[in-house]
Amino acid sequence: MEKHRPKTEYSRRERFTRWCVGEYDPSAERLETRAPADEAARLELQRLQEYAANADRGIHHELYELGLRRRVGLFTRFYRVAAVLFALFLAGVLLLTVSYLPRFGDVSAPENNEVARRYIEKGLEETGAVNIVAGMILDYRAFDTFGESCVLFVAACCVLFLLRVDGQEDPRSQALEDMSDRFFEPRHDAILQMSARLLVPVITVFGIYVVLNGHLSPGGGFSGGAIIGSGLILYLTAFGFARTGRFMTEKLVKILTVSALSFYCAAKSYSFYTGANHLSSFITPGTPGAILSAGLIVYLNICVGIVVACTIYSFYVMFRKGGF
Amino acid sequence: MNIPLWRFIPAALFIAAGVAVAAVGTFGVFRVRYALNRLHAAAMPDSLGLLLIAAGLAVLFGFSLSTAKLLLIVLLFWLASPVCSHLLAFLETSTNEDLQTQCPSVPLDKLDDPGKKWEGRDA
Repeated sequence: MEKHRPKTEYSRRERFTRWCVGEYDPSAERLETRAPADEAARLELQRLQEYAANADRGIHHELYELGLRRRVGLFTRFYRVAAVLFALFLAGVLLLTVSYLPRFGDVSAPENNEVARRYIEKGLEETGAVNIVAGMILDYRAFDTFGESCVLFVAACCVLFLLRVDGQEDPRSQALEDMSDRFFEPRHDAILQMSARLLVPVITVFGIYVVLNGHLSPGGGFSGGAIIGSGLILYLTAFGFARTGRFMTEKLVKILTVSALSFYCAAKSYSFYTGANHLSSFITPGTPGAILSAGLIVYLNICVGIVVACTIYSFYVMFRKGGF
Repeated sequence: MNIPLWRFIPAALFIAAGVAVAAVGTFGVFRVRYALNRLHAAAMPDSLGLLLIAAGLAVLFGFSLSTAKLLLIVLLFWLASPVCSHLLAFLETSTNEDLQTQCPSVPLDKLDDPGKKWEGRDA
């Protein structure tokens, strides 16, 4: 390119003729009436893109919400109707049952004389349990105890739903949680570890004794399970999750609880079925006072103890950390 | 059940003393304001009160297998209760930010100068 522009460009006449033709704009580089073309295009494009993205997200969000709301609304309506129907059904059944019951406080009602007297007089002979309470709750009224164990199981499930922390969290918050857990819990406390080392075996053995001896002495599945569970909690408090995680995993707790409840259900169904139909059963009361006597009571006590211990332990674990 | 008087009177004294200790401890838990002082009040029924009541029961019912069980209970409590107190006190001292104003204390390594009053954490 030439260093000096041609002279014609500077002459007014030349500029005028070029302006008339349309090649030359006198205000081109002196007046900033608007942004340069490419800059304006870029800004416009950005604005449009932002708008489009926002609109897109907004519309998607709205559509999602709408679909969710419709589905949730449908479910809520169905749920309400079903709940009301179920409650009415349950209330009807219960009222019907109540109408067959003897009047409250009736002297001639069977539960005021026959039932209690039979439990006390024939309990040892029929169930084989020296501990009458164990004979009542695990033989005559085993169904009631099964319901109680299931209530514990359902409570553990609800706590799991509400307090469980998902594993797919970002590692930073996970590390923060671990740190706060270590800060507030006495993880490497020598005094606690020493006493736990002394106490945990004793507590566990005592709990097992209470469970296994439930038909011979006061105790049974509920109290023994609570003792074992508190021993586990003490072990966890003293030595941390790394040590308990070796044996008390979520899978083990699940398997133990579910198999204990299933065994309870199956064994008691068999016993009730044979008892109600006067069939011969291989479950016998045995000699009262022996450790392997009282028919199913020992095994049912073990089942209840397992369920109670697992429930107590998982409650503690859930409330402390939100996972095993 | 006939209990001779020479056995009844010491047993009653033991049990009454144990109940009194437990009552003082319970009263202290509600009376005292600060956490560490409350810990002190709460530890009394667990240690002395339990021992006195167990001793009273042992004297009352004679020495048998139940006495051994009572001894085991006392042992368990004497092992577990100090550990609980230790953990609670540890949590209190490690999380309370106003510890020096609520509970002025002297650290162990500054104890050699008893005349000088130690003030503040940074002194």
